[in-house]
Amino acid sequence: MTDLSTDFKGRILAVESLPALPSTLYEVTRLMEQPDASTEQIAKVISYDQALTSRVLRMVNSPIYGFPGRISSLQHAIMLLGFNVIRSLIISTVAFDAMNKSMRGLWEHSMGCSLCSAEIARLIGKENPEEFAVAGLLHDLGKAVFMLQLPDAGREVSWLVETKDLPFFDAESAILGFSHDRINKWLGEHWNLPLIIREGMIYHHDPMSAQFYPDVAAAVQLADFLVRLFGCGYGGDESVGAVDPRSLKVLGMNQKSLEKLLDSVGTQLFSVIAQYGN
Amino acid sequence: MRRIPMTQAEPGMTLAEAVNYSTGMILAGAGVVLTETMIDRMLKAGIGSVVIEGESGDSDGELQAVLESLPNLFRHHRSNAFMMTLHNMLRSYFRMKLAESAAAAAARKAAQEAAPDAEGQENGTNGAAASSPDSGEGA
Ligand SMILES: [Fe+2]
Ligand SMILES: [Fe+2]
Repeated sequence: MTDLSTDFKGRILAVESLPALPSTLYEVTRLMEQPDASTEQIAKVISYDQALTSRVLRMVNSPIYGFPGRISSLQHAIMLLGFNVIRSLIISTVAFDAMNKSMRGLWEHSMGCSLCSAEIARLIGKENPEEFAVAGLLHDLGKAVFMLQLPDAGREVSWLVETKDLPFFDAESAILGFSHDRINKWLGEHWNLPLIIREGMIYHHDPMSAQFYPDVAAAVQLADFLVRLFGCGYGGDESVGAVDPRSLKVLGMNQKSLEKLLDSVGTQLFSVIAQYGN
Repeated sequence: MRRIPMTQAEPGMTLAEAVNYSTGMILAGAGVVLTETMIDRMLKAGIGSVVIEGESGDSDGELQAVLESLPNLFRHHRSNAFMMTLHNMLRSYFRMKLAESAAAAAARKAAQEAAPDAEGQENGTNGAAASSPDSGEGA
């Protein structure tokens, strides 16, 4: 089993077939590492790629990031949301393509999870809801990459989900020996994502194991639960995952704040995705 | 009309706006009734959402659907006490929301029935006549 798992890992991470990151990203990363690089320079580099620019601007202007329709330039976006978020959003354009190719509804599921994660962060008074949003957006990236890299194993997993009524996570473990949380870890390291986003992605099924950001992981777990509850998109199976009671504790949430969250999320979920989902 | 994600498009819905390929070529015009094949073609073409005819945001319908899906969504957690508590809390929450919305609708209806008298002061008899057939209580 371990040998098989190692083999699967190698094939999932096979760089030559791994979705390619936009070349702009390397330039942006290089600039970000220079202490004297200005927002202006970085914005300029991104703006050479028009398709990428319009995608990023469209994303940041959705209500998810809290400035609906008010961010008119990349420079403004970087100032408001920070380099890390913009860089992660550039990577998320790859996620968009990968998800659309691999599983119908996974992108909507991810957008919904992103919205809910940010909404939770705002509700509990976090200062960085945009980072929660990106963690939510990328939380199931491992599923998409796995389905693209190993289509045969992907079909086996879907078959198990349908015939044995297993949650997607368990079906992945049965076939691969690991699940998308592990794949998220590899991808996060491979693409050098910020730690806060990586921990959200890696530990959304087990928030208490997150070493630095159990709050982000807990928010993504609850957000994943909410999107599934409202039937928004498709996350691989039709059921909700278990919410760890300690997640609510970490987030400082009780029944009252949970109801408040339901109020605000329920009305937004579908309209936001319909408007900004592509 | 309202915009819905492509994943929620269903056969029988009527397009309120034309759907174009990214090249600009028309895939289906306004007024076209969606079929399974068409929806499939749109999904394959990467269309993310469509604008369809009909009331915007049938939120009661959505809430009702969530309420009804609860037992199925929670089926893997029947022996998890915390999840069952969560399930029951959600059931009460959605029931309460639906009841609130029904009460609000009833209040709106009552206000509407009262309205003809207010706006048609010079021909108040017309207003009363118009509202009587289905209300019954005005007379
Ligand atoms: Fe997951
Ligand atoms: Fe998910």
